[in-house]
Amino acid sequence: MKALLQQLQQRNFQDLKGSALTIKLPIALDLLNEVIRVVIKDVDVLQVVKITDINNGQVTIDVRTSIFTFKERIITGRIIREIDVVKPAIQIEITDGLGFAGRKLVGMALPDGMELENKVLRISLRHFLFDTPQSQALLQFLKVGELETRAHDFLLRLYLEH
Amino acid sequence: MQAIINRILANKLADFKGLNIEGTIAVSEELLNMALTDFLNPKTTEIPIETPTNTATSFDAQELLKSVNIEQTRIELQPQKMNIHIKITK
Repeated sequence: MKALLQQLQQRNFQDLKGSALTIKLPIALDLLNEVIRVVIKDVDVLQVVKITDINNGQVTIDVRTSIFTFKERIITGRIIREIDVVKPAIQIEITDGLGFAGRKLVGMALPDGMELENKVLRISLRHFLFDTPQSQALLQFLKVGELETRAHDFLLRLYLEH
Repeated sequence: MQAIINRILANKLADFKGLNIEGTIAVSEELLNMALTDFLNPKTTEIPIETPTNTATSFDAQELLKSVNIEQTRIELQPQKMNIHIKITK
């Protein structure tokens, strides 16, 4: 099976031409916070980053750092529903709780795979969700991606076509 | 990430309750023959491939499949797409 997967990848999935898949992947808030905890554990400055509430496309994030002027903040943001398919990433527009200086500080402390540019936090799907060579290769067939918030989870919708 | 992957596999994908995958996977004749060869001779040598070192956890796909409901699966035969010729000798 492994040899087959390797062969598929080596031939750039030509053997699957004509395929189309819709994937709906619910991501529980608990799991996401666990992933965040693991991701930031090697970043000295960031002590806590936790999503505490999701509602109607809005997210509330509790951030605690070791920076004297930035001990604790409650940040709110708006989920940008469309996922960038060129550089697949989840995007959150910061709407409150983080001014210009705060964004600069947080931007510098973010781990690989995350970036904060202007007011938009980008979380790379390639880095955090599709981190194997096979799944990264599949991402090239991503045509449409969306993310929405529900009561206790995020729903990631991906449409792949080859 | 190892701990996260372990958690996901240990609780049989419960973190993804509501997961839905729907669509069509088109399979070429050549791939079907490769799969058949692989099935009949699972010791097939792996093909070397130049990829970054894969540090991801490997898992038993068969075990994982038991965690999901496969509701509708059918195979369509199309011209030049799926012809299986088999010869068994001893």
